[in-house]
Amino acid sequence: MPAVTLGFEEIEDRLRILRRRVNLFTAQHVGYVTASVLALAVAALVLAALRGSPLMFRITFYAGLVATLTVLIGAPLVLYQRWRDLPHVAALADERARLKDRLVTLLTARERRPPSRLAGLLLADVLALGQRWNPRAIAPRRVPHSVYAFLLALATLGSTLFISRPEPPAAHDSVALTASGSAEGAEAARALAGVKLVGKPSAAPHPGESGQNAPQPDGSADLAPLSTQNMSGDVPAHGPGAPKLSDDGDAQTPDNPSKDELAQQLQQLIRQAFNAEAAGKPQQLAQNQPQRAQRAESGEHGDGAIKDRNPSHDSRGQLDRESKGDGKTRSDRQQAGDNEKQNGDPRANPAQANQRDNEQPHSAQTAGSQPSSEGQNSEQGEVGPNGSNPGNLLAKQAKPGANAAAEPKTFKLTLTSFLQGIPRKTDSQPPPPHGRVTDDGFANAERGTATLSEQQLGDDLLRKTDVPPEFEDIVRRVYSQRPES
Amino acid sequence: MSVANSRRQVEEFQSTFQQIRDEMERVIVGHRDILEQILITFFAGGHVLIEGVPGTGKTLIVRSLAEVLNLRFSRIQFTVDLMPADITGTRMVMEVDGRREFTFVEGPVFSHVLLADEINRATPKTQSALLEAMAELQVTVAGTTYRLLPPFFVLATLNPIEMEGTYALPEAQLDRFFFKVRLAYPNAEEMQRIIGTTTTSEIPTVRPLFDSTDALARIEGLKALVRQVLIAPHLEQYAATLVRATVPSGSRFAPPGGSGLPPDERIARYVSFGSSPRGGQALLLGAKVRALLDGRVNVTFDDIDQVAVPALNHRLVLNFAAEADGVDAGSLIEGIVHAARRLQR
Repeated sequence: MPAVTLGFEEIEDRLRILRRRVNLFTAQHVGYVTASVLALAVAALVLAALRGSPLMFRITFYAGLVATLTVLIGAPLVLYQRWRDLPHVAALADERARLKDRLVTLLTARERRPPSRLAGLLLADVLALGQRWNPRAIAPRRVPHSVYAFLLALATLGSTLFISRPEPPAAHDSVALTASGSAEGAEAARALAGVKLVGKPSAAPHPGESGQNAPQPDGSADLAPLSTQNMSGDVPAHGPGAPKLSDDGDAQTPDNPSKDELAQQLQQLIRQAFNAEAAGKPQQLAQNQPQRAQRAESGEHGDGAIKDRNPSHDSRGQLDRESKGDGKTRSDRQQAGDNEKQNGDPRANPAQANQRDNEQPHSAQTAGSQPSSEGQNSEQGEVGPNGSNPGNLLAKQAKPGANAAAEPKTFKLTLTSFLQGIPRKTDSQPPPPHGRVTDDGFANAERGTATLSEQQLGDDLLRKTDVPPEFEDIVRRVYSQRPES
Repeated sequence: MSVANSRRQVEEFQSTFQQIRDEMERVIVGHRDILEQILITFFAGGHVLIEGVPGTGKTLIVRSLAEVLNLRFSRIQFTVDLMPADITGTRMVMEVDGRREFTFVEGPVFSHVLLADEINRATPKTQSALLEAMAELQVTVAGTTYRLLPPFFVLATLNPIEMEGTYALPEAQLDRFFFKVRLAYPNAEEMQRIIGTTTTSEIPTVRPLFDSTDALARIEGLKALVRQVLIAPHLEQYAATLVRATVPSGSRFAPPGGSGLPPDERIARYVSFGSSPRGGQALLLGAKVRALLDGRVNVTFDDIDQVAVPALNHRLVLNFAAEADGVDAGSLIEGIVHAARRLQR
């Protein structure tokens, strides 16, 4: 019966169109729901990274991980279950167009044996009701309601860009690099790190034991950006019983990373990514990050090295201001170098730098040499824009929240030189409290037990150091103010 | 068969059904749904069991139907002493051409419309005499099988009271009936019309709709059309689910794999035996007739639902707990239908 066959083909064509629309709608719905869940998970993760505690971030991280895996696994299953074939689409059309199961019956009528003589009449009825079950009428092209959930999730995710940066702890706000004595320098460095001492402090390693971070009598300095891969805030320890510094009380060592290390690293990455993005220097951070991580994990730094787990954006802002106050950037390095040469730039003339170091015995700064109260840091002097205040504090105490818009930037400044000739204020300083970093290394250096080779003495570590451009001026200034050996 | 011819047959079915019902309503006051179910049973090729108290018009309905259809009508008043031969017929010694020989004398079962009045008053042996005729349209007497001429339509009446000296129909006998309808008391308006129209000088009568010459052919043609109605597989599955759901899940005869519906606590508590596959056949055939009455050539869920109770209620064997709690089979089937429809949606 050609007419019946043609009618069947026409109906099947229309049902195929309807099936495409319905399945596309289903796919869109599943896709939007999946994307919504993923966006919400990312938003929650970013929010927890920026504003939450490490514990909250870990909870959010694992919850988001479970939600992501659930939707990624469940979406194909739901799509498979809701994927409609031709009879199902016919049933849908029957329901929406109130065809009273005519389409479903017609689709199965061809396979019926013996064939019914009423099949032609049923086909004619369905064709006569064709306007009622037009695919455009019963399944118009539209986006599913889940798109609103998706947009809401996107808005939530986008709103995380405007979340204010986390308020740093008060201890993080200080950047104290003193040139007036080892005690002030140690306190400033500890304040810079913003960490507390956890665990039992170990005996300080012998000078020169830890490589270039060891106190060097020639006044060489090592300045290394702080790694973002190990931001636990602990002092890298390379021996048994080494002190561990942590701001959340987690006793973790690089050799025994906890299971939450991934979450911690991710939290720091998110924080730094957001900060870097806001500062417009994400690429630079990304380039420096592996080196920092490698250096931090390889334990190049001695006891004097301090890793700041929660870098203060205020501190960085202070440093940025100082850098900008000088008006020197990497592009202006040549011009700045000329000025520095006049002031005895050690990189330009190491010999002259050493001579200047010997002439300034009280300008040493060291980290982790002598504990002191944090309150002293806030009373330190501030370095002038042109570095014309060499005897005072090189880095100032930054006020909490003063630069809330600035981004936290982490770097580690380890100055292990200038030890010779620096008077130690052992008489006036109280004994170090339990659990604080001692100044044994300083004492060893003072006793002359820390000896360096000629190569070490002539080595200018500053030139080898990967210094972020915004800190170059400060480092250069600090280095230029080292005492004469 | 062209589409126009098919459409004409469907329209003829609708009009015939409507005419029969209208004609019967001239003498039957009320009971419109009962008349419809009886006609559905007739066009589906089944038999109907009418249950009702005396005086509600059971016999009048059957006699009026036979007159309208202009078919051969017989009536058997079932009593305790009724014998099977009184129904099927018997061989008698007859004198033919001067010789005596056994000749089969047809009983009242050899008719088109048979009224078995108060069928529960006969013994089970006599009741069983109808089994073969109802199921296979044939009777066997003294080793000889005699075919019945279609259409063969049995309408049995059942008196639910006066159970003294009655014999309940065996389940096998009940299962042969396509529908079981309950004739209730007429309401006030219907009662007024009944007593008003039957007490005047002009008693309303029915007119035959078919000529005696083509009545059989037309009726058989309409009955054949019913079986041409299309039904989708998922509707067949739905009907099968309903039938399987009537079987208690914990019984020995529970279907393997369950019914597809959640276990019904009421079925398990009150039902001893569920419906047979004949119940499913009745569901589909009754639904097909309803589809034709609606002008469609395909069955829908609603068609099945509307015939579920009359098609299945007499096939459920309830236990004493149901009788004690006053639970009837109709309410149990309605619960199954509701559950199945929720599952379908």
